[in-house]
Amino acid sequence: MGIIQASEVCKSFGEKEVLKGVSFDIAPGEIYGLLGPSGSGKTTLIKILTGQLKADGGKTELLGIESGRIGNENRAKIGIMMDEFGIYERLSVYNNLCVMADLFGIDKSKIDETLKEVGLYEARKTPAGKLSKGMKSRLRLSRPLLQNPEIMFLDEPTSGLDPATADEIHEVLLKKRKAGCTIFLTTHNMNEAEKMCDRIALLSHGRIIEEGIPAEICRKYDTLKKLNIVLADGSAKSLPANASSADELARLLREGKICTVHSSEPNLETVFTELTGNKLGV
Amino acid sequence: MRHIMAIFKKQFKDTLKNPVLLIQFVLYPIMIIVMNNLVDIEEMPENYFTVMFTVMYIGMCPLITMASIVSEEKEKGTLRTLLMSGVNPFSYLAGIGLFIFAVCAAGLTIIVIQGGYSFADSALYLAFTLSGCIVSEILGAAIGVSRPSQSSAMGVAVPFMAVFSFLPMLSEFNENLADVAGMAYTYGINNLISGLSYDTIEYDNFYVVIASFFAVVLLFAITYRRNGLE
Repeated sequence: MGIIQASEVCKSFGEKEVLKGVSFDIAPGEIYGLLGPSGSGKTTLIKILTGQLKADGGKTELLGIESGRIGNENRAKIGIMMDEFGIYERLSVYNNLCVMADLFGIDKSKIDETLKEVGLYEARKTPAGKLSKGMKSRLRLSRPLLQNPEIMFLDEPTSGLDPATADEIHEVLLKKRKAGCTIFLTTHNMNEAEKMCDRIALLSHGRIIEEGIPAEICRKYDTLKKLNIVLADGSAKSLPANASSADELARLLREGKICTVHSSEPNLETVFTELTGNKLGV
Repeated sequence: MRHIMAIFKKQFKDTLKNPVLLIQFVLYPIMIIVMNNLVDIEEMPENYFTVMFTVMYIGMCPLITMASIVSEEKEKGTLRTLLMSGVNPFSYLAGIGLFIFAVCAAGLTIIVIQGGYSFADSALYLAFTLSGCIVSEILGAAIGVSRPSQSSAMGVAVPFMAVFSFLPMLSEFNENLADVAGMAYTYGINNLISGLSYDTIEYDNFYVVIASFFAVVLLFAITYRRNGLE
């Protein structure tokens, strides 16, 4: 039985149906990625799962408890990082975490440990308002990490960050997964999803249109594999990587028109575009 | 209780770093001390500045600070962080309210000590003024809960603050105004603490404070029901 479960979740805002019967089951210790373009309902789903919003229909459970009924005794087991969760800008980095430590009754010695983990130890006395965007993101991430939760919900944790900072955050998350934490993350960054997630779900127009292990999803859509050819005159040509292209390829080879040939494997971006007609980041 | 104390500590640290809020707490106690020591006019009523500025303090400080803190936390998303950490809305309001009450109590204690009241009168002074602080805090909480941002909360709080702070003083110049002011809790407190200096306390004035308490609780209940804390 999953540690995070959603069954036929529906949600509308006025006339607009944002989620239309979303279901999944996430096992303990898994990193599960929800991919979809902006406005596809990812944040709404996190809010429903964490009890910030009520679903119009369906059921969601965390740790075997209905999302809306999670009591204080289980709150510390669930860490949430969302962009809209503010930080106390006048307080230092250290004091921001002190607030959380006081709320959850966590030993203050853990604060320095957590700050070292996310690379903010040197900035612990800096007012949070003076941090760069990347450092603020790390501070937001450090709050659920301090709780040492069983489940973490991360809403686009690396959105807008430089690749180096994003990599550091990925390292921290992979360490948490190793320690047994279940991570539910939303992203529209396919590289992040491929690198981090054990399983992903592609969300489009309020429905999960594909779910599974990233590599397997790509293999499933092997028909999208292409041959990219650069011709001797400098122009480029793309052919499907199947038998139907053999004659054309042979002809070009005979005529000596080919400069280079390489194949391109389908990735999550191409799969998503093929399935929905939309790009992920849009 | 742990959550209330965590919010109290957070607010204490944050206020020390927030000069705009800090000045609300210390401005009137300092003004009272300065005016009492610098100005000495013959035939001036006893404890004139103490009474006048105390009433302004009660009408201004708890109301503005409560509305400002709650609305700022809503606007900046820190309130959402707290609520998602298991803090229930009443623990949050109690933590902030307790902090403001404690700081106002400290300010009023300084005022009453330098006012030279007897021990019994000091106790009455604190009882009257702190009950006024509670009314102001609940009114400030209602405003903070009802507004989406700090600037819009201040837009509503400032007229209330101006009325409750200045009406008792202005009513000394106009009898008709005094009739209207009779409905304001700060006017009742003004009369109660003025009476302390002459041993002529008219306890009937406390009824308006009690009535105001129930009125602001009702106002808070309506705004909270309509808006929630977020």
